[in-house]
Amino acid sequence: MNQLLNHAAGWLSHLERGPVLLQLLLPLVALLVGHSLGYLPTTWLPRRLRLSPWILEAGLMALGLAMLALTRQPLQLALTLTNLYALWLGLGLVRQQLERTVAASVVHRLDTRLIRPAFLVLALLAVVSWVANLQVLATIPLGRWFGVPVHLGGFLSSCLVIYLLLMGSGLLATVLAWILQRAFALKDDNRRAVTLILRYAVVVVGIVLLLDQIGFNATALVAIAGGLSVGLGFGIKEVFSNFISGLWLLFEGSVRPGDVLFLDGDPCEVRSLGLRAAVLWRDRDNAELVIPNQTFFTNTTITYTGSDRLRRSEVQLGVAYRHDPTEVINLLVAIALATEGVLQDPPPRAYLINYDAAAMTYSLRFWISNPMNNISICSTVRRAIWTGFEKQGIELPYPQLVIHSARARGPNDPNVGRTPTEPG
Amino acid sequence: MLLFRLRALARILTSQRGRERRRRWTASLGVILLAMTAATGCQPVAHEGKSGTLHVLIGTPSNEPLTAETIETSVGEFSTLIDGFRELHPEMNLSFSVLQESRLNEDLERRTAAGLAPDLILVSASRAVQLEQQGLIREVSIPPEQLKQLPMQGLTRVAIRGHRYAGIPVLQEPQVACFNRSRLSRAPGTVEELVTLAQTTTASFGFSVDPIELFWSTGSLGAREALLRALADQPLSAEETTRITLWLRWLQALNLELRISFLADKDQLVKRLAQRELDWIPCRSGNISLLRRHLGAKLGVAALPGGPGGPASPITRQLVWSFGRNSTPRQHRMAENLVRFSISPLAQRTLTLTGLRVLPANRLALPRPGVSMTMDALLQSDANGTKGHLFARLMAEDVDFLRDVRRILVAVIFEDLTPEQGTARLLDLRPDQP
Repeated sequence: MNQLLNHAAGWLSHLERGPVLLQLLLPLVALLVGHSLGYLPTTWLPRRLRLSPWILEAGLMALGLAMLALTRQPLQLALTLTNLYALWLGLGLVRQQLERTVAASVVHRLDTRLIRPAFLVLALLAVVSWVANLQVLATIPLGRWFGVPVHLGGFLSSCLVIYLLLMGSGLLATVLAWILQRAFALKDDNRRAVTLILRYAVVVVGIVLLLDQIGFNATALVAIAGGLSVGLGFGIKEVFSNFISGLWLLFEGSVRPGDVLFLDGDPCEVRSLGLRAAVLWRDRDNAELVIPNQTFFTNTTITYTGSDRLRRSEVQLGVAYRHDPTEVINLLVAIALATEGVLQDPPPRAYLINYDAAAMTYSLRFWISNPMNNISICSTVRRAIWTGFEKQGIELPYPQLVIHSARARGPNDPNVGRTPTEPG
Repeated sequence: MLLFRLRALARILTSQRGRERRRRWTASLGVILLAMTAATGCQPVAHEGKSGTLHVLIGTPSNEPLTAETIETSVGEFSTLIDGFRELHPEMNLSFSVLQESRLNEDLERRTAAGLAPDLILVSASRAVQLEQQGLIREVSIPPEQLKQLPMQGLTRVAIRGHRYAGIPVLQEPQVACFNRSRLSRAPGTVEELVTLAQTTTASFGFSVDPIELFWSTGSLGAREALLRALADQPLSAEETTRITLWLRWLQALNLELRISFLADKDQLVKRLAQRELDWIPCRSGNISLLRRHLGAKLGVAALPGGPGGPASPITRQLVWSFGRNSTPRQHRMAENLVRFSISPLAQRTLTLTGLRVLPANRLALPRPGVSMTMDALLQSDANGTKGHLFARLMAEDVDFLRDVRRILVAVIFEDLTPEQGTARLLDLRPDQP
């Protein structure tokens, strides 16, 4: 590490050379002047003279480069910095173009996780390569880790590979899972689970191969694993437990991304199954619930998407006693069949389930394909029932209470203590 | 109209928004000033060339990718020099970098165009001349008192015009034979003995098809003068032509031996000797430290075998200091200090005797024979290689010519051409600059 710091300190001595300092300051000054001029109020200027900040910056940089060229000063460093800035602006334009065709969130993720980091790394390498031989820098020793000599190049490339594994494994796993889905006719939710498992596998295998490539021997890895297992047992038991639970759930297939679970009486869709917790989306209030994986492992889970995605919904209602139950049942079934979102097969069924105080209680049971739409489809069915019954003159009674008032009597009245219906 | 616009500008600048922008503007300028102050403030107060950082670039003859071992070997060779110099100039910092000589021209051109060229470059004499011709290094004049101490032959190799030079000689790396003592009790003294050993023992011998690395054998086979005359486009007698043919026939015959291998370049030879896959190779004295690390005391160093034509004619790699073009006057003075120190008899003697693997450029520091067997081999090799540098310079200056000679040698060695055809082809070649 000292060697690296010595190198870096040595690079600074190049600033002693006037042309080098000039090349560094020129783009910086052009940038700041252009930026500041560009944001100054220009309403007082004629319209044709108003320029956007980046045009001013680029113009000033080009002017500076031209001056260096005319005075026969070294300018390649300034040119590199200018090119990097131009590339940065170009990336901004590409980003804007992408946002027209791809979802903004995807572009944002791509931009922050891949494009910007890659640009910064390349820009850094481009600048450093002017003052140092990258091959020599790569061989700077950082010390020995578990008996293996580690050099700067190996360390940085390992970090890069791990970063790319973490960032790029998603795409790779998605493509592989898509191929597997086509090959084995998997369902969508199975594909999601396979994607996640493949992603973990790619990352783990990649890291193991990387360690092997660096030269870590298997004994050291086993020793690390042994040490970690003790540490995990005591220190971060919960985290590890959640991680293992997550993997177990994926392999078992009981909870997978895309599944619909019943949580506290609400259907929730599993959005993702992470290392520590699953993220569920609750339709009722658009809330995202972060549930530790262990919860699904130890508690009972109600799901509508275990073997299929069908849900049997039910609407109960009371109908006046004077209507023929057969007629009511047929009408309920016909209404359900005509309602959008209710499946024809399995067919809806209606039942007379009870004789209540004010009405006969019926239950209409029907199947829907998406459990998350239960409430909206039930509402549609209820509206259709109201309309259908209105047309057929079928009454939906409300509970009635009949009260008989008795006349006031004296204590010697023989009717005292009898109900009005009892014979006198 | 103008007055109106200026009033509008003044109104905006004095408004709240305008004030905020002005503050930002001032802050930006402040950052620039700070950066400039920091940049200039980081430089040590000038001590007239006695403090600061000196950037030194070392060229390696290897074409292989640089490894930690290569870099350590290249820089480590100068550790005694660095230590001695730091004793004298404790405030001066030396920053070393290493680069393959084949990439040097391109890299130096790029860095010079950015004002970032190193202050000092340590390269072979032929490469230094090339760099000077491309305008990538400064030409130097050597003070008379130093000139007296440097060998005339070494100076000729870097002479440009008049009393100007492309670099100042500092070290010499003669070509010698490196072998594994545990497999060969002694190195072959003649080319005939080499062939006999290959036929009668289990030792393996390696050669490179690189013309510069094979040139030593022209001396042993008596073809050196003929080849140099041919390449200089001078007419050859029938006998001289026959000598070249005999040399090519000998090379072809070598390849028929089971225990003799021809490899693409010297780097592979060194690697295979280090891995004990070969037992005898022609090598550079610069390879000795790396080989010693792998073979330890089993490494033997001897002069290359002579033959019926006389002693071998190895090419000594002359290392010279060249000055980069972008140094400030102060940095240039610092570089001159280091160069002056490095070619002083004391530093040269220390450099030579510490590792026993290079020869000094300063005649006053030449070790006497008998210091060690390695040093004797180096001295003998250097004495034999009086004209090799002409061939090396010719090859270094004309890459196409080098490629053509190599192609002919490969064709002869692998029996694609007869030695006679190979001779005819060699005589037809015309270098750009004889």
